[in-house]
Amino acid sequence: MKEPLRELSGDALHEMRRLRRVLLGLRVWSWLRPSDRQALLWLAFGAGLLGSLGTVAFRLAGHALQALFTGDHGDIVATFAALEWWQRLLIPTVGGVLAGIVLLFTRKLHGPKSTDYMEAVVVGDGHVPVRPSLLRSLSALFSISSGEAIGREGPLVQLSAVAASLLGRFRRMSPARLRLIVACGAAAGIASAYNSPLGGALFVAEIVLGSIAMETLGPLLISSVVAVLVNRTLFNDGPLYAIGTVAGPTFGSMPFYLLLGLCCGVGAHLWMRLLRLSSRTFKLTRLPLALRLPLGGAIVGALALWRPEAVGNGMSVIQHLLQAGHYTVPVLLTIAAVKILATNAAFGSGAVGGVFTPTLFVGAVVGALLAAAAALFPWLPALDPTGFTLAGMGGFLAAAANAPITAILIIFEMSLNHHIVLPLMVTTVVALFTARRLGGESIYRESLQSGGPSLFDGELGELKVAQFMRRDFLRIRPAARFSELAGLLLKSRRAHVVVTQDGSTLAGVVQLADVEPYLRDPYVAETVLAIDVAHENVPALDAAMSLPQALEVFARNREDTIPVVEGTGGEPRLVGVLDREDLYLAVSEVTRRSRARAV
Amino acid sequence: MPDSTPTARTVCAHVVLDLVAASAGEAIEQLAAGFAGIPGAPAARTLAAAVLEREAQASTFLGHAAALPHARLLGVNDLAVAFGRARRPIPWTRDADAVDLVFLGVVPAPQPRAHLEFMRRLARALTDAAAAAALRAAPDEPAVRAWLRDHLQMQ
Repeated sequence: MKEPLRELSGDALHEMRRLRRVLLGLRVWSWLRPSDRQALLWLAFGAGLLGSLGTVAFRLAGHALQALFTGDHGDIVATFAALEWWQRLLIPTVGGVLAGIVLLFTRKLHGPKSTDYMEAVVVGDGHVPVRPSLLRSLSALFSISSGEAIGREGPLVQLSAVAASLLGRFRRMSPARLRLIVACGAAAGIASAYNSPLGGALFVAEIVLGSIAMETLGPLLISSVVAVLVNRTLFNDGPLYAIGTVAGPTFGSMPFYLLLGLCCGVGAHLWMRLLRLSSRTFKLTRLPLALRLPLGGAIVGALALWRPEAVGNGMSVIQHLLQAGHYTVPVLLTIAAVKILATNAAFGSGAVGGVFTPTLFVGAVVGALLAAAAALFPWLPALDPTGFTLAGMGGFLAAAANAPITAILIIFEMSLNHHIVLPLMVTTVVALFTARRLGGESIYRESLQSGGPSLFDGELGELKVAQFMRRDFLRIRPAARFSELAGLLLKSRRAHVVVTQDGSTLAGVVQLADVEPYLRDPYVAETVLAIDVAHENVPALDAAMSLPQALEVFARNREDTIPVVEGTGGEPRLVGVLDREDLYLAVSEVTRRSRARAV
Repeated sequence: MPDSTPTARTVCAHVVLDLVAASAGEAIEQLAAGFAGIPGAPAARTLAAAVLEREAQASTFLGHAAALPHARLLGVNDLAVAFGRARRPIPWTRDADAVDLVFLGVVPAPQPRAHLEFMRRLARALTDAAAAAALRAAPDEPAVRAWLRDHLQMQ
């Protein structure tokens, strides 16, 4: 009985051995085959890879264009400092003209859309529009490489989100999963921009998705890691900010870090109001966009005549603050005033970009100012300028973006200094609570609410199963042989096959768990049919059911995937399947949004 | 996910040593009558209809001159089998394959693995020429039941 094949005739024996080899191969594959959730991690890997390549392309294009504008692709502040006065004035203006033309063109094609802070990519239902995103990134590219005082990270995030969205659409995912993959792309963008894997994942979890549940955080972490690896490989990047030493935390310094938190909370509140005010002021001029952007550029250029620190996103100025640490109060106030004016001119004029680094810059100045001011009073303990600058950045970011965990992790990863963590936590928490006391708005609130209403903005009771189901699923005829069924299950990484009569009538569901032990059995392969091993009395969802009704069906049943039918007239027609996890993801996002609207 | 471990026993419902039938349909009707004592099994006519419906989808001819017609039912707990042995082969498929061994199964629908497990044992036993010959030569019902118990672990 060990070797029943020996009794067979030559042909049959040959055929059976062939079948056995095929089935054995399939079985090996079934051991290696990732589960559905693990497959999502692979997609997150893909999103991270594509996303980071998008950011690499943008960085290289930025360098090339800056070299074209200024003759040098290095640090933009140093580059501007070496330019003639008329060049400092002219280059941002010309950049503004080009950026304005591209933006006008975008609006003509895709309708007007308020300029938003692009780091907080609108994930929506995962369909990030390709052409407008590319055009807006091009506009940002002109602004940034001509020295506009604006964050370059926004377009990086937008581009990597677009790449991930394309990947997800190519794979025809359900809306809930597509959304998650786009979020992975965005995380890859942030992680590449700041060389900060934890910060990138947490930024998207905290700010864009509003949840740090492991189901979503896991894929975000994977794509962030991939993105950072790509950037380290290509650019050999270290931490974003090289810093000197930070004094170890002591009880004596804590009251000052606490005070810094208070200042950051209030400062962030004022900063957001100022940005909004300058945007309104520019609109009051009633200038057309094609003139507003060059005007913003000209203002930045004019400020750069006085101090070249006006140009760029502020990154190199932060670097100086962190390294040199002996700025006096008047110098700090001057730099801050110039930079804040320049940033507001850029944003107010409607230039496309991000607010992340400019926000960090203001926080850095607040921290450095506190340390420098304390030095004026000899009876106060000496405060470490580097530590206060870093803590100020974190506190300001936490307060402005309403994202404390992101702020703590991203500042730690930017500096890779462990002494900063304790004071950073104090400042961040105090800043956040202070900002909440003052209204607690997020700098990204408006950009997150912009964009067309997505599926997830509906009322839970009105959303239908049909909108969230998966249309690509495995199906098989009832009379299909077991070997066909086995091949289908094993090749596809799915745990179910829907058995359909005449292609669209639901006849049952085959569960991988039921048939897995028999997949290598050559006897079963040709004598059993799909319908013999299907569960026939499976629950089904109606496509017109609301999500709460679907939740009820899932609660009453143990299946993780339930077929969806459309019951017009007599025979219900199979139209898709709904996964338990997709339903949960969708419901949690919809309820989160309706809560956010109510606040 | 539904429980997929086979908890069903395989029981022998009935044995017919000299099955006489001119067609698969006749054989199925005769064997279906043997399930009267099985808890949850439907009336013979209902059962036969269900088996024939499955047979219409695709023949249950196994090769080795044997067939496993079956129906899947919700109310039964055990996989019950009625066995019939024909002296004159019964034409079973449209391709004129004939069988002399018929195993009529009633399968508990929620347990696809019970069906698969029985199928595996049966196919192996029939592929073993000596074992198959022993079944065909079994002199009486106790001998057949002993064979079913030894090779198919039927109770």
